Amino acid sequence: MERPKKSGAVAGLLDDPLVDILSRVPVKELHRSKCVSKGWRDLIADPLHRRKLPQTLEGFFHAGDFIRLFGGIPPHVDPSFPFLRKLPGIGMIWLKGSCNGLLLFRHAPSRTISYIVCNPATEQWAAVPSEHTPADMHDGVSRTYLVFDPAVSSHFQLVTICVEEGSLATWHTYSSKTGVWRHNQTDWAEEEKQLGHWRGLNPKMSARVRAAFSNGMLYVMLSDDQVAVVDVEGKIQGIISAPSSGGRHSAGSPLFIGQSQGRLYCIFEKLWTDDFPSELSVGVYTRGFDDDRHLLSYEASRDYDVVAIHPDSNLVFIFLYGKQQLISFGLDSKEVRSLGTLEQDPLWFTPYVPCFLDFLSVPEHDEKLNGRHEPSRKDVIRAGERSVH
Amino acid sequence: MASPAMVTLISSDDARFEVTEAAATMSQTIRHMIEDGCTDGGIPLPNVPARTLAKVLEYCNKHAAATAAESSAAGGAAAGSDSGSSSSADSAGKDDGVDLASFDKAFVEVDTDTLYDLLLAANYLDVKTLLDLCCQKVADMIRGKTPEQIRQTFGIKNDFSPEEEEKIRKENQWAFE
Repeated sequence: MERPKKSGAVAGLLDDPLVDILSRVPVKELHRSKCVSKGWRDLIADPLHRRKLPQTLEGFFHAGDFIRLFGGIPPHVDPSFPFLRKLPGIGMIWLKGSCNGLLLFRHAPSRTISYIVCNPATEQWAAVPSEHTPADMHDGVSRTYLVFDPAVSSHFQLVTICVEEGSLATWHTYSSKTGVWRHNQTDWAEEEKQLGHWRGLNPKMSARVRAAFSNGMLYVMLSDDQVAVVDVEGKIQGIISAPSSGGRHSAGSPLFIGQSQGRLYCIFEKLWTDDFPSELSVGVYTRGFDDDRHLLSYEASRDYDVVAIHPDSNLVFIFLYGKQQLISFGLDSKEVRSLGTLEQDPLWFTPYVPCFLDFLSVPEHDEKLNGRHEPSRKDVIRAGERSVH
Repeated sequence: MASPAMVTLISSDDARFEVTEAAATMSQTIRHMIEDGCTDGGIPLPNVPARTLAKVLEYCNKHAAATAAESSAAGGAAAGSDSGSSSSADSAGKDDGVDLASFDKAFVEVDTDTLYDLLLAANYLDVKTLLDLCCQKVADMIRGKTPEQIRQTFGIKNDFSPEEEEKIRKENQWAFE
């Protein structure tokens, strides 16, 4: 067999086997290995191999623009989404969120189509019918989450949470598999009492509903420093106590909840009342909230917001209102880097991890994947299927 | 029972190997050659030297034999299901599975050059499971290593200038967090 001399080894491999090898390497290490050689860098960056290699955060959609991560590759998606806007029957659209490569747009007029879900990488899209329920006309606080995990199903779900009077919340969930909306109501106080987590406070969701999707569950922050674990049908599966209120001078409200590297990160602000506002710090709690790290002492006013966490790295993204600046902060390295200034406040700030797989109308995909995943998630999906019929 | 069909494979350095058709056809490349009737006087494999071909055939023989044992065990289980002998057949099949997994694990415990030769041969001969095994082994060797360690392990030359390397490091800084 002809092969390059000793120096060849993996470097001399044909592209196909090397891509096969690299597709088995965790995404973080994959990107680290771009530094190995020009050959490796080009192979990993080659658009031809995107479908095979694991993808990671490319940047953020924000105010009709795309903010790249540290001068990385230029986006392959036009942030004004012309392909969507020129579709017949499409009115106005607003980007509201993302999940594993899919984007969620609110659509108006919403008489027939309430949301549009699209994959900008493949330009596939699906319209979500109008729910014709109070959720559609809800004038209070509500937020809609897109739930999509290509490793579990090619179908997506929407979960709309509406903050109601007292400790009440209503849920409106849509499944692209069944094509129907379902509705549910939750009383956080009752749920906490039943699960033995009642703290005597009236739990509710904050005006800026904060929740994160992780491993098939939605984690919703409540005002009494607890996190409710809710399935995609709106059923409470558990309550996790967040430790921020225990034994501290004064716990601030939770700033952010998000998933990274298979763990749930919950970022709190710890305020020291005696010297507030001269010092703020952020603690990060992984799943089970066993890891309470004092991370960041930020000389600042309260004018900042944690807007995102890197899905594959211990990096959080923070927006500083005063300077209109977006920074990244390494939870381990404590290194702060600037990603530039934003023209608008990051009210809608959408992380984007491309997904080059087909979604929608790929039923075999689900068959193939069945049995490869933890039963909890499958049970949730199956439970949903059953209750529809 | 008739003796199994045999084929002759010829390595790039003209060594001849007699193997069962079942083992040889684990290679899709060889399977296609046999289907096309190009087997007279042996099947030439000009890309695979004897040393590597011997190793690949060791793998194919083991797996072809395990597959044959499995299907006869399954057949025996079906035939003897009334007499209650199925449980022993099942456990024999399971032992084979464990055996095969440890065989595979030991099989790729080789130096990088050999692993590299195996990988190229598995790719050329299109032996899917062997290719998977080799790719996974190399991926496991990459895991947890710094770029410099990867270069050392696989003998790759760093062709970046210090500035270029610094730039690419910066762009992928998140991955070093």
